[in-house]
Amino acid sequence: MAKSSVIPFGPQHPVLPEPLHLDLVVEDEKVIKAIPQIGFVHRGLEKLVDIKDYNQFVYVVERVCGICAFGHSMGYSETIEKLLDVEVPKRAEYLRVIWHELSRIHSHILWLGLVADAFGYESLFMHCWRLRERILDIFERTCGGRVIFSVCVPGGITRDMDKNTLSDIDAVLDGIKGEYTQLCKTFLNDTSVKSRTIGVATITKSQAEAMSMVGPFGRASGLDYDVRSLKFGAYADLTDFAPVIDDQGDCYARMKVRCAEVFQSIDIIKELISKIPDGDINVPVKSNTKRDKEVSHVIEQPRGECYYYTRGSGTKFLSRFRLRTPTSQNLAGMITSLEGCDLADVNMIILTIDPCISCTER
Amino acid sequence: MFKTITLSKLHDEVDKRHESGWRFVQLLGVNGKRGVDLVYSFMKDGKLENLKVKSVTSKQTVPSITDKYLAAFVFENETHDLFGVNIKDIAIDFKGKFYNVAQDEPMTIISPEVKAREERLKKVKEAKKNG
Repeated sequence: MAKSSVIPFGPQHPVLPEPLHLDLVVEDEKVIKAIPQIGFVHRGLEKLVDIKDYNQFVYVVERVCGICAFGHSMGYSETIEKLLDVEVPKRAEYLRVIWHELSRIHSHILWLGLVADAFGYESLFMHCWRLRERILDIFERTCGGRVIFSVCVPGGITRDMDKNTLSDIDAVLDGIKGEYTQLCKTFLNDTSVKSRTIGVATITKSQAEAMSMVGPFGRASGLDYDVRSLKFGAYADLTDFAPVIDDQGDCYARMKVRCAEVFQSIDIIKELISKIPDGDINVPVKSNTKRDKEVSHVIEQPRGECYYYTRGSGTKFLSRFRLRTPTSQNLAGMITSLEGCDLADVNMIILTIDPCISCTER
Repeated sequence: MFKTITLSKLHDEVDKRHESGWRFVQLLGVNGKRGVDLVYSFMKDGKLENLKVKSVTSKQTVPSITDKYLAAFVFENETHDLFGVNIKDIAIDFKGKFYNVAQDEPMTIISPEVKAREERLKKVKEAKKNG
């Protein structure tokens, strides 16, 4: 009879970008059960609505996570605009989506580098992060910061991009596309990558539906859901958008979906640059919220659907702000994918899920 | 869209949505004067619906929905730890240790700033009433 033992994984582990603890119940190198423990970076940020008004709170929201920073400020700003019935200029919507898609590219390339590092492909890791630097240079040029941008506020955006900047971004993306294609080919066609990921931690479409999975994690199992298909903001003006889906549901499928999404984001940015309208970039937002009026909103972050909720208090302060991030939704899927896997595969499975624990815990 | 339901009808409403193929989005708590409002969100075909159970007190017991939607275990544990809501039969129950918070039910604490604001609002309302 196999002997079972409990192996602790994390919160500090070389492959984990953020602290997450798992108690892995193993029998002879097979993981029988995975019990998660989070809370290491819980900062109680949602409670800060008590002392920061809705204009100030956007700077708290974008500091929930460094990778998803712009997405959070955009999701929060759109929720406040819904709460106050504010219409944002079209140009601001376009620029928001351009920055948001650049964040998605940066997040996915960062993730690819981490996966390569976990495989031991140090040079591939360095090439990915070198490529990512070009995106960070765009952020620095357009926003003044590489990680936290502080350009998206309720009412629009605080900085514009002129024609030269937009055409330079277009040229940079053309350069990135060629190199990124080579990186993806190298990675996805590698024999050892395939042997370690194909058929590993498979989640079927029905399991993904039952566990309400979102983002590339869910789309790799065949779920046809991407918030961008709901056509909020500038996404409504895209000529053709369809979620990137794979039906294999294993680690390799998750990698393929994320790799393909970078190309999709590049195409989205180029299309929006070609048709961006002129005009204002923000409208003033100063009114009090309506007492007890509540709104909810969703956007597609790099890791999946992110839900925002606000309730007004009758003043410039909110009585409640809630942020439900994609990783917290995907924790059930993560636990399920670990059950029955080999102990040596745990690193790879967690990385292909791409968890963002800072977002989960706030 | 927000729809208010009673606590006794919660599990039936969740069952109905599960049978009809609605996807669970999230659960959140909002601190109120008479208790905690729970907001359950579901989505189907791009339509987002929020079910609200108003003023749940610590004396009441909320049935878990993890028998239908396993992903809810994260939010039910969180709601218990941060708001002190009693939720029974959670599939993966951390028994109050999901977050190691320094104070119990921290989201139910009304900060001095919020108290001051509420008082100011009350005074303004009274002044308007009195002309």
